[in-house]
Amino acid sequence: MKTGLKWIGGLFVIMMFVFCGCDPEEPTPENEEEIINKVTLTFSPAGGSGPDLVYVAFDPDGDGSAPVELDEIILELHKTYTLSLKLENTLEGSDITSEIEDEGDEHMFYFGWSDVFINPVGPGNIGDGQRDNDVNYNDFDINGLPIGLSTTWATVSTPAQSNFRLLLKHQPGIKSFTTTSEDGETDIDLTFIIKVQ
Amino acid sequence: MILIQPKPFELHTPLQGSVGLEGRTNGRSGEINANLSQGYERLSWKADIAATQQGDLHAPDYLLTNTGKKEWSTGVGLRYHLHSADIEAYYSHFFQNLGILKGSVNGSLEDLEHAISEEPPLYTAPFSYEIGNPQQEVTHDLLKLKSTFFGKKHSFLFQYGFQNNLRKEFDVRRGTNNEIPAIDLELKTHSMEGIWYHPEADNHSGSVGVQFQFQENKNIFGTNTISFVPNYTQTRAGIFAIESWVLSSSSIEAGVRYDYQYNSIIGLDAQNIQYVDQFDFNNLTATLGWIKNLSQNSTFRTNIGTAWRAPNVAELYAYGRHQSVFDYGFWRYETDSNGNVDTDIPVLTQNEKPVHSEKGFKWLNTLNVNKEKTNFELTGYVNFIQNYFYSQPAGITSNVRGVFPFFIWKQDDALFWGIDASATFQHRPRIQSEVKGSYVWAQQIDTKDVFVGIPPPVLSYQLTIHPFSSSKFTSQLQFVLDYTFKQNRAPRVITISELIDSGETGTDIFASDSSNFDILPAPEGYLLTIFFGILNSENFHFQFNLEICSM
Repeated sequence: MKTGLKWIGGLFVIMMFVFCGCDPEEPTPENEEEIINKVTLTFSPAGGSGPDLVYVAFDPDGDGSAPVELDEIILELHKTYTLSLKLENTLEGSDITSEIEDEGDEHMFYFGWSDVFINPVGPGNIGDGQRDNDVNYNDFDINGLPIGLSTTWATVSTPAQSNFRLLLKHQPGIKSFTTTSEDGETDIDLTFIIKVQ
Repeated sequence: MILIQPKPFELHTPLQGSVGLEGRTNGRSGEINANLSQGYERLSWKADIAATQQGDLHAPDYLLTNTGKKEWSTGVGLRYHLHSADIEAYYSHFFQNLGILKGSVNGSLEDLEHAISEEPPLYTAPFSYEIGNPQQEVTHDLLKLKSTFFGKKHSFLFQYGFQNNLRKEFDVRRGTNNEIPAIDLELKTHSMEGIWYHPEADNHSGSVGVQFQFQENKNIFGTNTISFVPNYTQTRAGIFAIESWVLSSSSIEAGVRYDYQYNSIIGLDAQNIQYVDQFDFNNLTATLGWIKNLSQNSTFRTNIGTAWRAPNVAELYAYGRHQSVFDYGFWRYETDSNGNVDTDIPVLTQNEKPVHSEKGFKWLNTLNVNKEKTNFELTGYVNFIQNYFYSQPAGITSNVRGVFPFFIWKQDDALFWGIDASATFQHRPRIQSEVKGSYVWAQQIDTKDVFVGIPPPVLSYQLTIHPFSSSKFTSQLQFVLDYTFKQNRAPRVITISELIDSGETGTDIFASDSSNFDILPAPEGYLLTIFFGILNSENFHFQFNLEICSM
């Protein structure tokens, strides 16, 4: 019975192939420009007083179910660093950093921490009502608003440890002096462990 | 696939046409439509055109920015009538550009939490007809040919349809990608149908038929993002027979159908590596119904039927983020012996991980009592679904955007049963009322788990009055009380903060319990009161609508 039915089915398919006759067209590979799967944090000591410290957040499988791998950030006591951020899509081998820079008026980084820095002071500018808290931004968009691809940090002089949260928001058309980390769509949200020792 | 049923063609009618205008305050929308038709002795034709423009809609307290709509359509048709045949041809074109509420789009769990709590939504701006991203653009072109041949006692129907659908979805994206669609699909469908209505015997009539359908889906290159939807062709063929017999006080209807479906797939995985698969499904379905006239004004119908459904592309191939959750289709993940899900695998095939079609066995019973002034109907049904497709939470993952719950597609047996009841009363010639209620119960059989999104029980009462009516004038007043009960068979609640905590502390809350969940509890029961009025004449139309919702 079953084979008989399959035969009938097969006959129908032949009829349809005569009718339109096709397999699907092969899809053309696209450049994946949506995903950011690697974020590199480079801490450069002020005045070249030591080597650059490089820490990475890397999600090798992009949209897959494997979690993102985070380095532990270790900084020296009582030192001033410039933090530069680099964003990449390693699946395509493309650098997203300049895209964020070009669209600085739509993007802003927010930072969160506790206990590990003397400058800036406070817990950072993540959360409703926290926007005006101290963060030392070095780069600004065409409207004079901070971006955050480059920031400056001075560590405490006694050993400490905390979380270090890095949040990039896409705020097209709404970025202003008052937009907070709760406005817009999240492009990056990473929480590292940071140690000063 | 949208099937538009065009208005019938009339022969022997003079050239006639009409123009309609409609406006609404919500969205400040305007619609214009016009049609023309003419019928000769053997030939008739018609043409119609319609256009709609709607701006941002508003909720009771605020505007919903970017919810505008632009739409236009046109159609032309021809009919030719012969002594023993009737031929119709119809072509239509439809375009729609639809805005999607910007504040509803979210990139992570935290965004979702803010989107739920933010009122008015972020990005709320003054009223506008403008549509920005996110938005979608849809075009349908439909060509339909239908011919009916009349024999002495039998007739034959042949129908061919071709539909071309284009769909572009624009997201909020970085840089120049904002101008190009993130999803760009073309779907072509050819369908053919032949039905023979065989000669009627004294108490017996019926038909046999064949149906073919060929569908081709293609991703249009240039989206700058890898689509999980593969290019595919789908060929379907079906053959069926349906017969009915009229007995002294009852009638019997029986039908049988065989379907065959063949799929050919070529897609690209997340690494742009091509995958190819061909697979088919075939199913035999049947239905048997009995209608018994219990008395002059009451009937009882019972029907046992089977149904089937093949998995769709998303159920098979979904891969990755969909707003604030991740979703993996049947062939995009593997589970190891410890229950861990691995998605970093080549795309699986039907041979490696067979997916069976969903099969339903439904038994439906209806009692209908129809008296002069009252009408009563009660329906009860049981539906056993074998290999029911559903997505189940399977863990928490993280990427550079934050932490996300992820879902995997599975299949298992499920049981649904439900009751629908309604009664209408004609109190006076111009006053009538109706009471309606329904209840659905659903459960996965193996795990005894409940499903997300099963409608809660409802009970409603409706009073309709026609205060005055004449041949040139009609009017209607309606009062509706609509009570929606709380869904007591709702899945457990896991809040967004609990999900984020689970991801950040590395404890998988689904490890010990992978049952379904929702991020908000089922709403308490609520009452909706609606007043509704219509005044209609040949050249005048007035309508009002008032809704009150209370918990």
